[in-house]
Amino acid sequence: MGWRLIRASLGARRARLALAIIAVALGVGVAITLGTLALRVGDDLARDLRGSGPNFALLPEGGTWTPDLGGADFRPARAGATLHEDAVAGMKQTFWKNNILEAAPEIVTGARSGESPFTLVGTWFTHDVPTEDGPWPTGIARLRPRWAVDGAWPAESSDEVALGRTLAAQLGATVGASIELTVAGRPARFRVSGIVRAGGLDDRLAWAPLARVQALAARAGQIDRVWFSALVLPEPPGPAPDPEGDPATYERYMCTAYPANVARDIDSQLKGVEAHPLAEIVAGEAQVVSRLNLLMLLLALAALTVTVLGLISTSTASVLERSVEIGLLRSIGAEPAQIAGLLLGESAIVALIGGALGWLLGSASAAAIRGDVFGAGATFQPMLLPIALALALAVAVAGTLAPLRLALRLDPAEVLRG
Amino acid sequence: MEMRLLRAALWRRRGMVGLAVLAVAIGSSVAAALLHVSVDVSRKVGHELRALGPNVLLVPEQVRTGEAATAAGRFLDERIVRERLASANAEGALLLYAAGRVAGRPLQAIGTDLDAARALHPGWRIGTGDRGTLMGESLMHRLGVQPGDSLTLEIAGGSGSARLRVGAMLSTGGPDDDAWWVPLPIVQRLAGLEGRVSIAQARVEASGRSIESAVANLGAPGLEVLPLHALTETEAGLLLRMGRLMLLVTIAAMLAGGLAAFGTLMDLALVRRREIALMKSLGARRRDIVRQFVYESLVIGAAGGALGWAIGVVFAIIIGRQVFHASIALHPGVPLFVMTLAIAVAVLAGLGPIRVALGVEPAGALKGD
Repeated sequence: MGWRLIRASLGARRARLALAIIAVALGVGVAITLGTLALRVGDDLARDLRGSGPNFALLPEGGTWTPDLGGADFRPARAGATLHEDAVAGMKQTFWKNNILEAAPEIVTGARSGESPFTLVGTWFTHDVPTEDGPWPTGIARLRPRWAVDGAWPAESSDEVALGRTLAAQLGATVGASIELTVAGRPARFRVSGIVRAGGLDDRLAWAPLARVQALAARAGQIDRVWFSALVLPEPPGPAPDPEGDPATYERYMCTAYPANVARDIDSQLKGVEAHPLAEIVAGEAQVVSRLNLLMLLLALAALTVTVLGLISTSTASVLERSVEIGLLRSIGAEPAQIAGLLLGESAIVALIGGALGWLLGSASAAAIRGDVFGAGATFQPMLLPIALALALAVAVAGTLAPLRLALRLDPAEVLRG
Repeated sequence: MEMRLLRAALWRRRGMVGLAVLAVAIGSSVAAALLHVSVDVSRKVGHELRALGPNVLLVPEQVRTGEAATAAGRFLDERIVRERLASANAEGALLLYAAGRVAGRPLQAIGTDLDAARALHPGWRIGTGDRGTLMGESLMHRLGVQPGDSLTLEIAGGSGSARLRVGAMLSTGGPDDDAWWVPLPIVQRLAGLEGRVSIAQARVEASGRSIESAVANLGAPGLEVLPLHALTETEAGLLLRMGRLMLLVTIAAMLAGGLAAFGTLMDLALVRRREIALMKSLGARRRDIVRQFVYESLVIGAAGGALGWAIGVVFAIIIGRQVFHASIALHPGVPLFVMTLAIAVAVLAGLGPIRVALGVEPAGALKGD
């Protein structure tokens, strides 16, 4: 009986109903769009910032940094330790293999072309690293996508070299030219495949395929360091949780991609290496990402509040509008509970249909926005469907019950008389 | 007469009208807040990007031929660099690299203005202890010293020595961890290089003007300006993305706000069918009825828009404090835009039901059908 009443009532007011469903769908759609964006924006921004280059370095254990510049010719003690190039593949076998985005090994040697000395870096450009999940193409071209190359990076295992812009000007070399250089007294001839606009002091370097430089420097298989880029989360302030006192929290802490955890795991899995998060870059990026994430979250909350208030006021108005009908129902003997059931049933149906449509709409528009802004692929989040439905239902109930109490309090006779 | 009618109509249904004004206010408050934030966002985000550290290096111009000439241009003139940084209004730190020696063991000493360097590198982690000098983490381990120890520093090729206290530990995760950071004048004196620095690091804010023009401002003879492209391009990209994202989010929020107000306003107009019928039966012309409704919508829209703008300003200020720890600049164009938007939504939401109402048969509606 109650069900038939709801059906009849919905059928009689088809136009109003369609309007109500559209309102709920649009409202929920906007809320889902902003919610999805707020949840994903941190990841998207972090990935975007990773385009600026590596945020970790893998060094030989006990090795130290060679001072980067200043012309002070000096090597600190123990700087001579080296790594094996297998370390790169090894990183992809650790717990954090999915967080490691790109990597490039580096062997650094002094070279000389004519009268000009410069630093020659042997590295991978786009090299297929064998891993359990198939080949992993990585190298400096993917690690440093923001470096602009006039020409192309050298092909792997070719006699090609890429020159930094300043170095190329100094040597008077152009793309396609052939240059003669000597490494540790051994002469070699390379073709300049590209001129790199790297920025900073990197514009004074030259890059050649790793195997060629290893052969020239007579250091087969050896590398000096690996630069890599990993997705990490900012470490929370305060000390790490206590493993004895709170094992669950400790477990969760250790399994979160904090820079120190990633570095520690790589250190313990690979022999003779030390992974160093570039703390300044990691902390700087974490700060930028967390600020922007907070901004999006606040905006999403604001928009959600508006949507909820708007939907409540719409459904309040539509109940108030029906006070005559409610008076009529009461005058023919309907209990308040029956009337409440009728109206709630109606709004629940509207809410469920509108909520589902709104989820579709919101997911699609969030995917479109992310595609437009970040070039990220569309990912539907089924997790948000129940949230969308629950939101729509809660709003419908709140927007129905409050005005219903008002409407029931009115005297049926008076309402019917107008 | 019209004014009286309008006042009476609004007052008699003050409950519904209040609801409608509130709906418009809520909608426009979010629009106002978002507009304020997004007008200001690229400047604010640009400022936040300071956390990424310096994005420009100033180095001695490399002389193109031969080694002897290169060596001659190995240092910058401290006075010129400071003057260039000040005139380009850029934050910067001057660095003098030197090969030092402590108790016969070699180390890298970097002379700099420590306060400026710390301001330029917000990502540096500095341990506890005196900040008169900073010692890199790995150097501290290598030398086996503690903050507070005293060491005698000599510079290769210089004369004299200085007894310095080891300051707080510096962790950057990079080559900077392998150096002893000492006030610039001390290193200059020990190395006999008064008024000379090796390089300068600077931060140029990318927002507003292009980094290239900012870089051009820094240039001087004998001085080469090297923007760190990986960073500057990432920053420019980030600003662009945030701007786009804010624009789209603002549109979405305005849609939500408009929608919220629209539903309530439409209901307000729909329930007045009976009133319209009465006006028609008393001989009101269509124009009179439409004018009456448009006036009502104008009042509701204006009141809601003004209230919404005020709430939105509060909201924008809260967002500014929470996110950027700074106040948001209040753009004078925003209230105008928000009021226009609110009135447009109110009038549009009113027009549909009026057209329905005008088709109403007076007798039927008055009877209550």
